[in-house]
Amino acid sequence: MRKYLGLILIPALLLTACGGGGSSSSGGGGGGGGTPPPTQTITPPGAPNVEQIYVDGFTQTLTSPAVNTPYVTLQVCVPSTSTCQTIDHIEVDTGSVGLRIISSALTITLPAVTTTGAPGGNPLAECLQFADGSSWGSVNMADVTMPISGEKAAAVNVQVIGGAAAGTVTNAECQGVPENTVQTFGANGILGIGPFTNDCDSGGSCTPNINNQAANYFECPSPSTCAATTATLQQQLENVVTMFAKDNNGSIIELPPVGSSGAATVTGSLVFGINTETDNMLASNITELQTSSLSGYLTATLNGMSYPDSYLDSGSNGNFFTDSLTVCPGGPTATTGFYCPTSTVSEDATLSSPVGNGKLAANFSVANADTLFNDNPTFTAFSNLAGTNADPNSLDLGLPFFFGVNIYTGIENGASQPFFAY
Amino acid sequence: MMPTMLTRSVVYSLLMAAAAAPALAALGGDVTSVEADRARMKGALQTTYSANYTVHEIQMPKLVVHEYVSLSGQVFAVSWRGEGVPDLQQVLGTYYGPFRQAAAANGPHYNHHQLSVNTSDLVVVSSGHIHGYFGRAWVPGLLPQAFSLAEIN
Repeated sequence: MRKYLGLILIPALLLTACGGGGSSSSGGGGGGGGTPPPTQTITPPGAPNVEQIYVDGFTQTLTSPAVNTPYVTLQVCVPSTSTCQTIDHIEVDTGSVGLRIISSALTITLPAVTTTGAPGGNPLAECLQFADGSSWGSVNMADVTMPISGEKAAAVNVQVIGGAAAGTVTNAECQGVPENTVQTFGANGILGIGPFTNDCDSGGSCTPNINNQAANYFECPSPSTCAATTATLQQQLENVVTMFAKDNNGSIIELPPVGSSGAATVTGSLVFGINTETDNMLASNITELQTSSLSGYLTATLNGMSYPDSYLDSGSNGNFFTDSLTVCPGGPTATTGFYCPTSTVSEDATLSSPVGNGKLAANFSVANADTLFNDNPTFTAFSNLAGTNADPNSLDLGLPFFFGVNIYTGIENGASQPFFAY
Repeated sequence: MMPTMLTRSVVYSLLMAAAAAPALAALGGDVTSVEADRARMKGALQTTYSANYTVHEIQMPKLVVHEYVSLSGQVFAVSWRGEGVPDLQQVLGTYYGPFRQAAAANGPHYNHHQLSVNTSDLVVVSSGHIHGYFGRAWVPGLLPQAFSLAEIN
């Protein structure tokens, strides 16, 4: 169990500090082997590279709260103009790549990305598969500015989800439960900052493989004639972080700890860049775990079993793994898929790299999800929420694991592997 | 036409053109549809025989799909692993409607990386992040005797 003594005092110290160097109580986890996480310092939002992130359920808009979902506010502009819109509640997701905005949340018209790169070409659209459904939208271009840090990315390819401009395709070409509205998506959009440089093929063109790969691009000469097409590197959705001028090789999510009953809301920081500023150094007490090149997997060990398809994922609202824990009672409830043990269970996992060195302790608790939600129905953040994973080979460490630990996501870069670190 | 009984895996390598994914046998459907599908496939099929069931492995460019067929010739489970999610309307067949209904009845769940639909007649679970997806679906009432869910992988 991690201790959080004194952490509440930290922000006051950091306001005058340049990041780092703040002292706090011991925060390491125990048991299970591997290096425990170091003590946590959270850099306050500000220039040049720290944005605010918030966990608040997006309750002002969603009919039921999006628990354990981190959001950021960002600005999009028509490229090279001052026609801009600031959009809040963009989900921050280390499990995907690319900026996607729900059409109904976008009030400005962004230019289309076309096959020739010119206005006369055919507009591009994209179907993006998530594990739980799919999003269909047009590919547009925007200048993106992070309002608090000031980080800027010009001419970013953005998927504008669900608008009429996207045209249509058959269900077979973009199959799955549609997530094309704010209510079904759970956010006004999503900022995918996973450890890859784009959302399809980092090394070159994205050849369509309908229902084989998750990202497929389409050319739409007219809205009803969209057909699968190969997207060049320039046409695929980039990792927005890689398009910042300086802090462009990764990011750090810094969220404070959350107690065993949960929290109404949580705010923290999204730091851009790794080893580019004084506030994002990979200090000697941080352990880097390189992931597999293709799928971004780490190996987890838990209760003597190996989970080779594991990862850290801010877009997962629980820690998900296959275990003999009691699943919450069946039927349509908010806790479908979560665990409901009779009393809280401690899990001592270890993370290691399938391609490199390093071993980290990954300890977390599993509380009864029904009890958590019933005791505090207005809370939107829980550090001990866990559930089943469809993949018996995977430990998906979601946002509960991020509370109290600064998690680094390192983007692949030529010879450098993708990595996670803490 | 049913294949002759074979005691080891048999691999059929077919044409490798990219194009559309091969049509798949559907959950709850008849095993003979696998034979019809194979003629249209543009991938590789590998069949493995166990005591209680047969696994038809369909290998596409970035995805592998397993179809589990009982001794009575019925598809009782499917699974997938790879860089995407197969066409669930095709793979779940007549169970696709119930899947969509159950998913909607669960209400919003707001997790793009995990999905769990669990009813007495159908279980569909799906997980994954960029470049790595896995999912499986089965009909509890069609599982063979002495069958462990761990065998759906």
